[in-house]
Amino acid sequence: MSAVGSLGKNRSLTAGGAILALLVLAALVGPVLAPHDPLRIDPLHRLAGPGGEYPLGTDHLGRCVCSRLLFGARISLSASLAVSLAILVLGLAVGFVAGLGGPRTDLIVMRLVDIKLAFPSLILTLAVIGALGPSLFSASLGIVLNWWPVYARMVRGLVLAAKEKEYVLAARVTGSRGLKLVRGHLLPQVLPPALLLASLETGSLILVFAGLGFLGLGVQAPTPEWGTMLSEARNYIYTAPHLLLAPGAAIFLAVLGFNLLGEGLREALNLKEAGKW
Amino acid sequence: MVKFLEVSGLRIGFKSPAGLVWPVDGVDLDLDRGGVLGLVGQSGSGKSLTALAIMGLLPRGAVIGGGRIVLGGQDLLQMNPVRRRRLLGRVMFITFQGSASALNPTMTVGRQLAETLVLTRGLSWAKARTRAQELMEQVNLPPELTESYAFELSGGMRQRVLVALALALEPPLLMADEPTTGLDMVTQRIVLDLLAKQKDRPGAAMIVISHDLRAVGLLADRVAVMHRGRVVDRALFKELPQKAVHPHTLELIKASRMLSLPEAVC
Amino acid sequence: MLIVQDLVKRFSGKGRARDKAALDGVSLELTQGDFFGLVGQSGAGKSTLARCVMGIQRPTSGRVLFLGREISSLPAKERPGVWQRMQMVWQDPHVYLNPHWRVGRLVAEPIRNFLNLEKKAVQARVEDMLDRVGLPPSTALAFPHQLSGGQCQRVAIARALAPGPELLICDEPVAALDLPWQHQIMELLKDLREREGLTILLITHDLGLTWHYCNCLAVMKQGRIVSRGEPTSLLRNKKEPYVRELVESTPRLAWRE
Repeated sequence: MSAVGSLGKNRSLTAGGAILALLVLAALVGPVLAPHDPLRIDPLHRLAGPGGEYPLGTDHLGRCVCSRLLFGARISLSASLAVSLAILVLGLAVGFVAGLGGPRTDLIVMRLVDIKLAFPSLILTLAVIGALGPSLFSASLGIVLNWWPVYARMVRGLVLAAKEKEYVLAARVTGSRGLKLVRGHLLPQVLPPALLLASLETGSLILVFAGLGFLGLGVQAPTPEWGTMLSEARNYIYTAPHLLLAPGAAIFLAVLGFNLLGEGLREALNLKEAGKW
Repeated sequence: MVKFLEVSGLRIGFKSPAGLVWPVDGVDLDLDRGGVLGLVGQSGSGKSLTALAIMGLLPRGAVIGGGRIVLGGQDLLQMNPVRRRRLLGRVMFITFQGSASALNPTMTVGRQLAETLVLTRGLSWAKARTRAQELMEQVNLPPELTESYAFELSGGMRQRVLVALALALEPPLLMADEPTTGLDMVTQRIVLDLLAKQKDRPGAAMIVISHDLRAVGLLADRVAVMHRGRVVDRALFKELPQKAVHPHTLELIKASRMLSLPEAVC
Repeated sequence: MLIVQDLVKRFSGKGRARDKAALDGVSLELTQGDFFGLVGQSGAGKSTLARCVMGIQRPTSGRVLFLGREISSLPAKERPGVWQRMQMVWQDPHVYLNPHWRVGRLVAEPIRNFLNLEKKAVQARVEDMLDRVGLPPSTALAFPHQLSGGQCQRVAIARALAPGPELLICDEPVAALDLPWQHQIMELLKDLREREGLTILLITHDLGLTWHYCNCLAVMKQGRIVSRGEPTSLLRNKKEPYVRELVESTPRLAWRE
């Protein structure tokens, strides 16, 4: 079983990893490869089609789409990755505390989560941005504060199920407890679904940043970012569809990459190096 | 004399990365009307697959690589699939080990019994309901339990409902796959005794499939011991210790002896 | 070695289970070197008794004394000290062994937790444990799902033996196994008792297991012990109707020796 299994596992992990590596590489060396300054406006070539001087055409201000895409990769990827990681860590911590902390802790933590979840979802984010002033940082902070309860709730559920596993009881009887129990027997059960959710959400976080960017609450105006590019392109969907397709494809690739990676990770977590225990 | 059931040279294979593997690799069995055959072997020995092949219920991906299954003079493997399906429940029936999943969870067990009677025996619903209650009593379950769902019953009760289903169908060929696994000894005995009543039905033949030679011994007059896809020993049950030649069978006999009460304790 | 006095366990449940005592005043006594068989149907309270003795569940009332020390009221923190000397083997090894761990790590877990050993010594002890249950050292590299039920149960026993316990509680250790494996595991337990003086509490529904192996028997029904004694005397004189029922439902083989 394992021969076929590991091949399949490696396949989604490699595919996801390759796509993301490509994107990360684009983000790193993009500035060098970019044919133009992403901020330079060329009024004579507004909404130009792909080809020639501008490989992916130009937008409504005549800026090079290809260059903006390459520069934007940096912000879009790093922001969504960092935020996703922060949410995951916060969610895991709170979820584990609720799941293992006894009924009273659980009750208190979960009511807090419920209160948060009862808020309309963007209010808190908007409040944070309002308080700190619009910027990438305050948008990120706002998103983290808005998003963690979903993870916390899921992690708590997973922890509650995980600790009922027979082998967890057996491990307790063999003397494992505290962090050892969490690391060896609980986390391996909780992490794969949490990572899967995280990798899916990382993709959608790109879209959330886009939404905030569109409202002028995230990345500020001239700075290139995929989501903002997508929002700007909306008005030209009939006249210049390539404007929509380019960042759309980039986001699609990123989401696909994160999904494949998550799926691959899930499998890989069950498989350790051969010949070692 | 022509046998009621005759399986010869049956091979069942599955595709694997290393090519076709043959979990059942040339099995010969035969069974007379009125006989009870015990099919004994460890998990993975191919005994359940053999039973499924006789039923025509092999899982997807299984390939029959040769052999014949002749029931009442007809080769089942040559029969057209529609006619073959009609045999299920009418001519043959199998009770599965996972009795939980063999019963429909969305239907009360009474309704399920009644429905089976309506579909296979052509009874009216009213008659079928009364008959379902009688059947429950025959397997020592209170008739009120017809109103319960399978998941509300214990493993032993579910296994008894399956036996009731078998009683309802009165199939000429009844197979019981691991009827005692997962049940405690007292419940095992109740299920086995109920199955034993089945063999008194004229013309009925039964195959009991189990890893537990002790349980099989209570029902079967003949046993076939399977090991790695083949029948390695076959004998009358009471002569098995004298006739057995394969080391696996000898091990099985020794295990059964060590894990049973001696004859003297009665 | 182990004394259970008047143990009661009630579950505060709803509906049918309400106020039903799973254990209704159970007393037991195991001496060093016993192979004690506790027999009863499912639902008789055998597993609850095992869990109360292990301290995984807290009894409603009653006392458990282990090696002269009262352990039923120990705080959770002091439990591991008891577990070093009293270990447990469970019914289905495939669900009681972490499927993500290799056998070596599984067996090493209690050694690392209970014994303060160097890395080399841990490894040596793992191999020693595997050897004691009749598994080759290479088993350490396998995952549980790569092993048969019988091999897996051997791993579980090796793991239970690893901290060097004096008492081994086996809750239906063979019920999930094929018959030849059942026999081999019972032989292994017998060996361990004879070679190493291990005391074993065998919990089972299968009276057939006990005859050739146990030196003491207790029969449990609905949370009470209805009969106890040596197997021969207990099973031969069947004054207690429930014992007779159990004996009658246990298969006997009509084979002459």
